[in-house]
Amino acid sequence: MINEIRDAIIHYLASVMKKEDAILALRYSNTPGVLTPFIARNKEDLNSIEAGFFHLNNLAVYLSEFFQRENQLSKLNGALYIVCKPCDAKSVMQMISDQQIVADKVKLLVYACEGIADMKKIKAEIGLDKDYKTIELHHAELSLTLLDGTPLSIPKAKVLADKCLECNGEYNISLPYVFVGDEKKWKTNASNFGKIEKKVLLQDQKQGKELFEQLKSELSVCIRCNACRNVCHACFCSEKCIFDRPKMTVGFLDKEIAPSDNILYHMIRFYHVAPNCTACGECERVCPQGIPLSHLYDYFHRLMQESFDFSPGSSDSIRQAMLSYRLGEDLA
Amino acid sequence: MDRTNTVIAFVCQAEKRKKLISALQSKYSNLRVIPVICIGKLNPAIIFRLLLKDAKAVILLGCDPSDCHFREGSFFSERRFFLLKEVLKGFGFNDKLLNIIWSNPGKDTSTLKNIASFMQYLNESHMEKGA
Amino acid sequence: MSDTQKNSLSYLISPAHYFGGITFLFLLIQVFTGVFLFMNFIPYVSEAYQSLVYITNIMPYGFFLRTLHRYSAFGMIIMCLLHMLRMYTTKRYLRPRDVGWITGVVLLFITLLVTLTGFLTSFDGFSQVVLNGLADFFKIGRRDFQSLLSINYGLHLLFPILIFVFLITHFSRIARPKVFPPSSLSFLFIGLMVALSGFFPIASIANTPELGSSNFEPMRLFLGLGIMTVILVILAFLPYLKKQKSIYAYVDETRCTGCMYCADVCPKKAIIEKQIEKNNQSYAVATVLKHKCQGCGICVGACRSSVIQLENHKDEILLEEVRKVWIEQTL
Repeated sequence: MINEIRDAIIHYLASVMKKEDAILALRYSNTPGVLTPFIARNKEDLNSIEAGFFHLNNLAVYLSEFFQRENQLSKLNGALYIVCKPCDAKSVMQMISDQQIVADKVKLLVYACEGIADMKKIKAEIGLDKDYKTIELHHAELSLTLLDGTPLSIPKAKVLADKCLECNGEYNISLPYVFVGDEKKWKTNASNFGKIEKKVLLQDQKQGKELFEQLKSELSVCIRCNACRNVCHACFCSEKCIFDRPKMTVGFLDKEIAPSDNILYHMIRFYHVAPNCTACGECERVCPQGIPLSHLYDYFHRLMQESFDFSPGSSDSIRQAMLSYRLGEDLA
Repeated sequence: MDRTNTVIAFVCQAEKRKKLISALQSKYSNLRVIPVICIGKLNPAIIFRLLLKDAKAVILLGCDPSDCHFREGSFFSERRFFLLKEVLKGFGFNDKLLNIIWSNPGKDTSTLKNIASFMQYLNESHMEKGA
Repeated sequence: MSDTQKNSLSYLISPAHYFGGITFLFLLIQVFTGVFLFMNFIPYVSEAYQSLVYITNIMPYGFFLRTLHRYSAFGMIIMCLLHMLRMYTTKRYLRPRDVGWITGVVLLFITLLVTLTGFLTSFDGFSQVVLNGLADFFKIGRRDFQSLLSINYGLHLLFPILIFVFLITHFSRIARPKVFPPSSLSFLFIGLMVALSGFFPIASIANTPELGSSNFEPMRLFLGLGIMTVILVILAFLPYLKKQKSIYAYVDETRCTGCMYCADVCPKKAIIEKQIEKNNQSYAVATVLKHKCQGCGICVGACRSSVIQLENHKDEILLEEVRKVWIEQTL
C-alpha cells in the first residue's frame, strides 16, 4: 500500500516535472526508519522519493526558508512542488495567510496518508536498550530486525502517532492542488479513523496550582535548544525572534536556564503561535528532552475554535483570529 | 520592600486620568503607575515577564471599548488579553493576579473601587507565584 | 477583509459614536422622500404652486412626505452639529484627522446651502416672500423669475450629489467607519421622525402667491450667508492653530518578516507593504505612512518580534521604566 502511493507520486511527478522545477520531498537517509528532506532537481532524483508511514517531517517549514533567504531556490524559475500529507497542507495554507510564502510559486501535492509512526512508541515497544537495523511496514504490521538479528513484528496500530488517531480527514485547501490517491475514499476512511470522540486534555484533568507544579517540573528539563521554535512553521520570525535580540533578551529572558525562565519562554511562545498553530506535532517530535509540547498546545487549538470560531490552516486568505474583532462578543 | 511586593499598573490615556493616578500613588505605596498612550500598545510578552518574575501583580487599565480615542485599541486588546489570561490558565498560573479593567477616564470612582478591592485581595491571600 | 462586524443590539457603542451615522441616515431619508417629491413637483412658475397643492392635498401620503422631508432636514443639521461638537470636545480634529474635519466642515456648508435652496423651492408663504425680494434685488420681473426658480431648483438637486462626493473622502480616512448606526438606533430615529411628522404636520401652504409688496431685504440673506461662510472657514483651520507634536510609528526594516499583522490592526490603514531589495532579492516589509499615522501604537502590540515601535516610547523604554522601579526599591 505504501509502495503504491510512493510509486503513484513518482509517476505523477515524472509526468509533470519541467526542467526548471524543483520538488521538496523526503528520501531515505543512513539511519533506518529515518527520512531526510531533499530537493529533487531532475528526473533521476525522483526515484529516491519516499512517502508513507515514516513521512514524519512537516515540510511546510522549509518553504519559508526558500522565500525569506537567499539561496538557489529563491531564484527558482519554475515551480516548487511540495509532497505533503493532508495535515501538512494546512500548515502551508496558514503560512500563505501569514504572508510568509508566495502562493503562485508553490504547487501542493497531497497524498492519501495512512498515518505516521511515532518513533518514541516504537522505541518503547522494542525496549530502550535495543536498536534496530531494518524497519519496514507491510500492510498493518511493522517488521523490524534488531541489531542482534532477531526479527520483531509490531501491529501498526500500536505505534501510530497520537495525532493520527484523532485525524478526522478534514482539510480545506483553497489553492490548486493535486491529490495522489483516491480522495473521497481517503476522506471517508480518515473520518472513521479516529475513535477518540473528544480529547481529554491535560488542562481538563488538572487546574491551578497542581497543573502549574506539574508543568514546572516537566519544563524544567528544557535546555532551551530552540528546536521546537526552529521546526515550527508558525514561528516565522526565525532569526528576528524577540528572544534573540540582545536588548530584548535582557528584558524578557535572562541568560540562565532556570525553571521560571523556561515557563516564561514557553508561555510567550505559546501566546505568539496559538493563532497559527495547526497541531502538526513537530515540536513534540523534535524535542530532545521529550517534553509533550503538542499535547499542551491542544488546549489553545480548542480555544481558538470555541472562542473565535477560527481554525488555523483552514484558509489562505482569512487572517488569524487576533487581527480582527467582533462587536458584541462576550469574552469571559 | 522587595520587588515581589510591587504591583505595576499600566494606564492608558494618562493625561485624562491625572486625578486617578495621583490618588492611587498617594494611597498605595507599592503600586507603580506606568502610562501608555493606548492600552493596545502593550506587548503581552512584557506582561508575562512581569507576572512570572518581577511583580506581584499587574493591573491593566484601558478605556472602555465603546470609547477608545483611537477607535479600536480596546477591541484588539480585549482579544489579546483574553488569550493572555487563557495562556496563564492553561499553564495553571493564577490568573487572578492579572486585573484587567475597562473604564473610561471619567469613571474614576468605580475604577478606584475596583483597584481597592483588588489590592485588598492581594494583601489577604498571601499568594505565592503560580498558586 | 477581516472578520465581520456585526452591529448587534446587545452591545452598543456609546450613541455619541453614531452621530455621524445618524446624520447619514437622515440624508438617506431626505434622498428617499426627495425622490417622491421630485417626481411630483413642477418647477415652473405657472405650475409650481399647483403641483405643491397636488402633493399636499391630493397625492397619497404627500403631506406626510413633505413634513418628513422638512423635519429630517432640521434633524440632519442638528445631528451634524452634534457630531461636530463631539469631534471638537474629544479632540478628534487634530492631525492626522484634519482631512476628515475639513471635509466635514465643507459638508456642513453644503448641507446648510441645500437646506436654504430646499426652503426656497418649497414655495410656501415665507419662501415666496423671499423669492419676491430676490427678484426685486436682481431686477427680474416679478411675474417672471423662472430663471431664479430654475437655478434654485437645479442647485437643490446638485448639492446632494456634491455631498455624496465629499462623503467618500470623509469616510475614506477611517479604516472601519461606522457608516450605518446599529439597527436599534436607526429604528429609533426613523420612528421618532415618522411620529413627529404624523403628529405635527407643517403649516398648510399659503394661498396664491402675493405678487405685491415684499418687505424682505435680500441683503440680510447675503449677510447671513457671508457670516456663516466666515465662521466655517475659521472652523476649517482649527486643526492648524496649535502647534502639535506628532508621534509616528516606524518599522525596523532589517527585522520585519512581512507578515503585515500591524497593517491589519491599524485603525487608520496607515501601514502598507513595501518591497525592499537586499542581496539581489526582494523582500516584503511593512512601512508606515506618516500622514495617516495617529501615533496610537496598536501596531506595536500586534507585532510579535517588536519590530514596529513608536518614536518616543519604544518597548525597551517601557522595560527600562520597570527596571527603574526595581532599582528605586532596592536602594
